Amino acid sequence: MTDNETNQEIEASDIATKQTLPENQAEAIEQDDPAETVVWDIIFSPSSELLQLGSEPVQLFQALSTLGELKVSIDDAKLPAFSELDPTACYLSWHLTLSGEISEQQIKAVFEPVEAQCELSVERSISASSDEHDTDAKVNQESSQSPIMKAPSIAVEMDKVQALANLVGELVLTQSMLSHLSEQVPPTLLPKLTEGIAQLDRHARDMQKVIIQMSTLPISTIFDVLPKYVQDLSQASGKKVNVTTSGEQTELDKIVLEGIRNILENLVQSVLEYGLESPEQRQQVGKSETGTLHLNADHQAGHIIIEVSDDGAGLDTPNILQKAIEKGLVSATEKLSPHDIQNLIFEPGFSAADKVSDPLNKMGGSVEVASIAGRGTMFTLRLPLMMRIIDAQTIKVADQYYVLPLTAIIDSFEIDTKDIKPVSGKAELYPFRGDYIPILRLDKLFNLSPTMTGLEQRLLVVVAVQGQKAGLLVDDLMSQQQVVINSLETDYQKVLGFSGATIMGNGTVALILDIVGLMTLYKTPNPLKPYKSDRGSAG
Amino acid sequence: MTSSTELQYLDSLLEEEHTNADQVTQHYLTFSLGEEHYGIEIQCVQEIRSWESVTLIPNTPDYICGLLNLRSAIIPVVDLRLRFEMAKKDYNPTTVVIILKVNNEQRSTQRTVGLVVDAVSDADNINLGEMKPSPDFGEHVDTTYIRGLVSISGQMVMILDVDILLSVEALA
Repeated sequence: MTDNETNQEIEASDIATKQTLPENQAEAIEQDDPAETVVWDIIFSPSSELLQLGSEPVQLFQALSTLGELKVSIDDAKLPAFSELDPTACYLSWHLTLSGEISEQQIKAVFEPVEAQCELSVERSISASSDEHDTDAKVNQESSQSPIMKAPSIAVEMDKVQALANLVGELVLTQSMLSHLSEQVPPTLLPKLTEGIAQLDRHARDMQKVIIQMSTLPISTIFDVLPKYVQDLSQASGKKVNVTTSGEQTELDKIVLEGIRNILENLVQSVLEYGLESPEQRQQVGKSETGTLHLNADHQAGHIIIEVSDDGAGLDTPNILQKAIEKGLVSATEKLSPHDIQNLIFEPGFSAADKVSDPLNKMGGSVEVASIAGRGTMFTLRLPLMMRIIDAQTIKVADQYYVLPLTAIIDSFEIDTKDIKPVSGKAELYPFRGDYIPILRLDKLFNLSPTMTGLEQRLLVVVAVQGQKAGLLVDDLMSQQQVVINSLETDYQKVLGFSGATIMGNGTVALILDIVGLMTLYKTPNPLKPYKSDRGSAG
Repeated sequence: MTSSTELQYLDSLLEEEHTNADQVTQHYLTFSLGEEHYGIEIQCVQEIRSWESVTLIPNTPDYICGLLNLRSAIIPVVDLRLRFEMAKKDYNPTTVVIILKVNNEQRSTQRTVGLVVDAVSDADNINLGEMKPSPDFGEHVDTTYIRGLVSISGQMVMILDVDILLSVEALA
């Protein structure tokens, strides 16, 4: 090591102790009185997906530099050859030297948000001058020269934010219950009450907004990188495209954001592949050589709307119909609107199902497409603002009410008893869009005594999950509303067929149906011994 | 059955007991199921409510009455008569639900569970030294959740361990 390096090291501790001392004395102070100024050796080796999960090492280092004097050096030993490099993966690890009046807990607290995604070693430096990283000074300079000035912040565990969000969700529900009650009181009698409730309403909604903002990031984190992604793809395919974005400040839940990134990449990839024409083709039909791909994001009634539109050739509707008939998704005789046919691309068997609609449905979202031949295509993605609030349909089965996620529902109609096809006297099938789907009699599945004797006037709610369709036999469809999902495991345990429970406007509890679980329940009837059994024969 | 004024009285007793919790003898809430008397540690008792209708949970044992909205928490309600395989008694507004805090085995988390009983009797001080172990009934009666037996004014009271009685495994 050179004298020069030793000097740098000492300078660091000088600044930290705010004293000007000769070199040897500075060292002495550190060793004699460690409670004052400590030099910490930190080795931070993040896992490769750190960047994909939205964490920025620079932000961590900036947080550390507020604690004391920080030196940063990079270990790039794991960096692969350029051809094998995944631009979204993190191959680097860092060696940090931090000096100041700092406790180990303070350092650990800074790394807490990325705890699960890194290996971290925090040790007190044996000797302040033991350093062999000749890049120290340079990197230190760089990191101090990139001051992204931010408002002061604290790191909060996601669980805590989530817990607070849950409470606020409940507060909003309580508020709506109160305001519902207040409508029944003559306002002349209790003007103060209505005023107070209106105020509570405002506060609750403001609070919910703040909470949502706490766990959200702007969609610009994706919109900013997609144009580059598109350019790379278009260069490979020889197509010309101009990417424009709007609404990039629209904020959404960090978890939703992670999920949507892949889906959007898949979507723009297929737009480039199938939607946009080659420059020659575009010229022939009188369009400019360069196509346009527009990304827009917006809030709409408690949802995030993301639109991906292009001015390409549009969907080949007859071809889609042909394929759908071949795959047995629809029958050749069925009368479908162009819009219906276009949206068949999200049905099982089409690539858009695996790449777009399935992952989106899993997140509680949905997708729709609208296309005009020769003019272009627009995909509209709908996502819940927060994962815990879903749009739901209340259904009535016997004397019980259940809640069904709206995204799972394909169709609902009154059942025609003569169309029911019994299968060996045990199962029943029902024709739906050229297919036969199993009928799940919820009253039987749930061991409820039916309140309706016949099947007439009962409704079949067609649901789809993981490419499988089923018809849920229900007594009635009630209102649609947003509900807050509560886990059953907080005070009880998992129950097969239900993803959780929610509190309805009238204060009662309703279970939320889980379609995958219902299918399991249907396939393995009576996982427990029958009980409460007036298991009447329905129908 | 317990009237609502009695309920209020018991609730106020409960509050008193909670504030005197640092005394040497343990405080127990006693209640009855038919002719049988049971005691539970008052520390676990959060409140006493009268019966409200609950939401059925399909495909669960019959002693799981259903789910109750307890100030926005969704908690299970257990019928102790059915849990002990005694004859079912219909619920009415004078039926008592004891809201309990139940610890898991490691005592690291707490769950809230409602327990339906016939009637709440009183809150008593019990000297733990007087508690007798429960006799072994073999296969006839599961005694793992009976902590012991005590005598209160001439009546035998079975002291229950609610953490075992209402554990997740026991409610499956």
